[in-house]
Amino acid sequence: MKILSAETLSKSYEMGEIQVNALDDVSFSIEEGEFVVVLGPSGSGKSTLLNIIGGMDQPTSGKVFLYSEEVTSYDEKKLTEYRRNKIGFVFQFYNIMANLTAEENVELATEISEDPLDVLEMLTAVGLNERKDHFPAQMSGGEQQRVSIARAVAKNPAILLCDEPTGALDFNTGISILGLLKKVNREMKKTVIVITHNTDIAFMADRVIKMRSGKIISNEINENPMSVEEIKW
Amino acid sequence: MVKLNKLDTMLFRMIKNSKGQFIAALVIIVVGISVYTSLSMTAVNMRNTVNSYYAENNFPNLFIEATIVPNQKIEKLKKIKGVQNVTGRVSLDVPLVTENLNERVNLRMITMNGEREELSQSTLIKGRMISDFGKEALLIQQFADARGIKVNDVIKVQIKGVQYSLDVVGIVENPEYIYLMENAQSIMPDQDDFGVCYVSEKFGQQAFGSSGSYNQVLVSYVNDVDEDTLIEDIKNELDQNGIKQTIKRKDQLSNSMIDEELNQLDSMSSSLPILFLLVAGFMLMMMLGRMVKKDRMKIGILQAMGYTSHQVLFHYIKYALIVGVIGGFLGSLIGMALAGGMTKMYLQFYHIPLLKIEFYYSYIALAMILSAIFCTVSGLIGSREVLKITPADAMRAEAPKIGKRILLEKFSLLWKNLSFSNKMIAKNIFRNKKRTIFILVGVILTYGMMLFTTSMPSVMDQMMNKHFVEFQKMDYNISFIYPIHESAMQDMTHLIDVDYMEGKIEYPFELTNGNKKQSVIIVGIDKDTSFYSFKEKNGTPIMVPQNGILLSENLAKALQVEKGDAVRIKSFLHGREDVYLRVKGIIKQALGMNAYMEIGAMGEQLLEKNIITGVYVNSKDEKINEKLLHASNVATVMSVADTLAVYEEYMELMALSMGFMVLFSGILGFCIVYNATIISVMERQMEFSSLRVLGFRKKEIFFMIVRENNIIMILGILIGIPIGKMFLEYSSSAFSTDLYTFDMSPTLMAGILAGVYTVGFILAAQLATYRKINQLDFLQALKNREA
Repeated sequence: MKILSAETLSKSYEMGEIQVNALDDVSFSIEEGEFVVVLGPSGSGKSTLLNIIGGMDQPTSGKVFLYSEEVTSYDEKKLTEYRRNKIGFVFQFYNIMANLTAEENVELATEISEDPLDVLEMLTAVGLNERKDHFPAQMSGGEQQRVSIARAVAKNPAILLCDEPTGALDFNTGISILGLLKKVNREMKKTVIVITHNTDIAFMADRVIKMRSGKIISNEINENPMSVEEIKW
Repeated sequence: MVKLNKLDTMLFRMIKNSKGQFIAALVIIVVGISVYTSLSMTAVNMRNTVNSYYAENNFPNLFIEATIVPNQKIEKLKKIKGVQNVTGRVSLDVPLVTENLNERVNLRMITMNGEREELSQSTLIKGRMISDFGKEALLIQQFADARGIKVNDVIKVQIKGVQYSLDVVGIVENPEYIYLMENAQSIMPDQDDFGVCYVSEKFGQQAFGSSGSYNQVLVSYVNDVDEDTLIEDIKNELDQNGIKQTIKRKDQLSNSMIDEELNQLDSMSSSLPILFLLVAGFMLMMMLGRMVKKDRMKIGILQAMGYTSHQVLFHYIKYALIVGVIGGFLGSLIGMALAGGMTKMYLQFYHIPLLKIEFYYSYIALAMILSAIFCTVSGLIGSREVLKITPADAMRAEAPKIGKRILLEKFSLLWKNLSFSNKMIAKNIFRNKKRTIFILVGVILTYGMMLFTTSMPSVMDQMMNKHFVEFQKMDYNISFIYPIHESAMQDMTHLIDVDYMEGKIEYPFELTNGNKKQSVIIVGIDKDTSFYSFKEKNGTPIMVPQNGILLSENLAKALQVEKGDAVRIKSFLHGREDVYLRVKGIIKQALGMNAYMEIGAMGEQLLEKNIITGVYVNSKDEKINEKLLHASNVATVMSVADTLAVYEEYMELMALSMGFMVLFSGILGFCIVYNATIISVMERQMEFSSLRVLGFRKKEIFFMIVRENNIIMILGILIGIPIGKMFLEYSSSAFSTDLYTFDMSPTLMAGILAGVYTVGFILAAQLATYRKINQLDFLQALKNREA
């Protein structure tokens, strides 16, 4: 069953005095429960795509659907509801709140969602039960990213959107984070979309969408995804 | 236990992390609100106290001074429609005989009929009331305290050349002398040298030689009476009794001084706090603006998680709201405590034998609401950028600011010669316009307030100096009990050693121009007097005209007359026609409100030919008071040197309130500069980190900020000079009253002192930021990308 689909998405914006065409006529669809990797070099438009499907930005033209609902027709209020209940974000630089503990960071998300998961169970699932009272400054990058994942998943969203989740981590930590994302995908049945420039991560995906200069250059199903332990970069 | 939501948890930790800035904003609110609550409450308490004191002691509505009013007239006056009660009494200023014979102490002796007057009742503090017979006296408390006179002591007075011993049987307070002043020229109470004493009517009339008559009439009205019509009716009834002066309650000396003081409290309670709240509001706007800018990513993340823009906006507004509510609450509490103390101090100072101090909780609510509204609006303005941030924008790095050349770069020779750090300082001053303006306004305000404060002593000095040294030039001003022929001057020369002497007439009249009326003393002096130096408004010297009249500036203003206009002089003397006189000049006079005429013309046109009511004397005779003690017709001897000495004492009292003003102004400057500096440091963490990487020391970076602030401070002080002067000019018209005219031109010394205080507080603020700057890990800023 299609969980997410995009139809002829385009996006251009101004940055300072420069006009940027970030997306150019992009269309694709994703099945429920898939682990998807959107692959592309820097500036290929993958983050813009994530922003639009995550309801953080509006396309210049084109449509996005979650199941059969057109997300791009939502007003500001409905977009906020959409982000609140349907989407979980994981960012490259974790972006957890510096003055909240691990547990409080997760609670920050669960407090506003309709059907949240148990906070302590989530922290246990990401292996941070012992570190729940620590502040970000007292945690390693990997631990912070785990908090970020726990925070995103605890909202019990339909889709987990991850923007370069291993980009700021060393190899071993990166692998463990990918393992965690896979676990969320397989055990908790969440659709996970990972955006990365790291081609090796694509081997573990069910679907790989490749982008360049704002366009999709391929959208392929990976029949034999690798296990996380097999990936190397 | 109430569990905070996580946004609020973040908020409280945000406050904890920025506690220095939070406290700086809080302090300004607390000061502003405490000033508001304390002054407002003191003013209300004082007004209520004074009003109930007046009501309890039957404070009259009208005071009439006349030559002679027979006892029977009082009954007739009581029958006039609208009159509620009338009391007649004799009042005479006489010297108190003290051990130091050369000390001149004036005692106003007032008669009272029976144990208790019907109007202007005294409150017995100690002892008992006087009996109808015998030489007993009640003394006003301020005077008794100042001179250490107790119940059962005996005082000696000289009445018309005869010495009397009086038993002090009681100490009282009286609503007419809450503010114990001898006359309008006194400017400040001098309870050591002027007192009030109540004696029985029987004794008074006998000693004063006014058997069966009075020279003062007190009147109270029924409610809702047309005062002016009633006064006319009363004047008609007393037409043949030589009315000298009618004084309405609002013009009664003590009452008008208190009223003036309370009005000043009111106006300060409404203006000063607004200034503080505006500064705090602006500070919060800057702080929140900076926070929102710094938290751009955090705001994006919160929105990405599903928080609405308004939830995030309110999160920041709450910061300001908390400052407002806590500041309002603490300010009200401190204000209440201060109000209690201030009211007690006022009551003691004014000798009002009451009362309970009420705490008006509505002021706390009002103060908290006022401060909360101010802060919320500031918070809203400061953090409104939140609404413009979209989560997607927040995820992208902010586009760098477009760099522009600053004004200074156009002066290439100057620019080329600046060092790198000086160039950075210049650029920062010009580029961070909001911050520059904030500090600039802060310094201007601080300096302006400091200048106002430091100018006060010199303003008072100038006023006293102008009046008693430049305007009047006599050593002694001697007044007689009754007007006498000018030949009496000869007798004076036999009594005292005189260097130079002129006769004078000082007599009250009512001056009118259309419907404008003013009762003042017209002073008659020699045409070529050596005792006055009159100058017109523009500074041109002017002589006393042979015909016509000179008016003091405030009198001309009250009557709305210009030079060349005619004023009507209404004589209270029986059978005298009103006289029209041409205004020949409007003169500057710092103290009091008077009109001046040539003595001969005045006698002829308004009173009797060749009479005088006293003399002005220049003398080195140190025993003048002693020698005049037994002179039967000498009422008062005013020594200019004594007046100036009283003023010196008064100035010492003023030092305390000036200290408070300096402190308040300093706090304002301190908090503004502290906050703006911290904001600047936070905003420029990346820039300073780069400098650290380049090898700059923390101290060098600190001194760059200090130099930046100092340039703005110097600029602020320079701009503050004309603005402070404007503030003083405005204040001189606001503070000038019928009794005194301020000419507030700051002196060089006041300017320098204000500058020193301003610099002191601002440098202290910068030192306070040093610790904060030292604690910052600039290098970490290069690495961090936390929300």
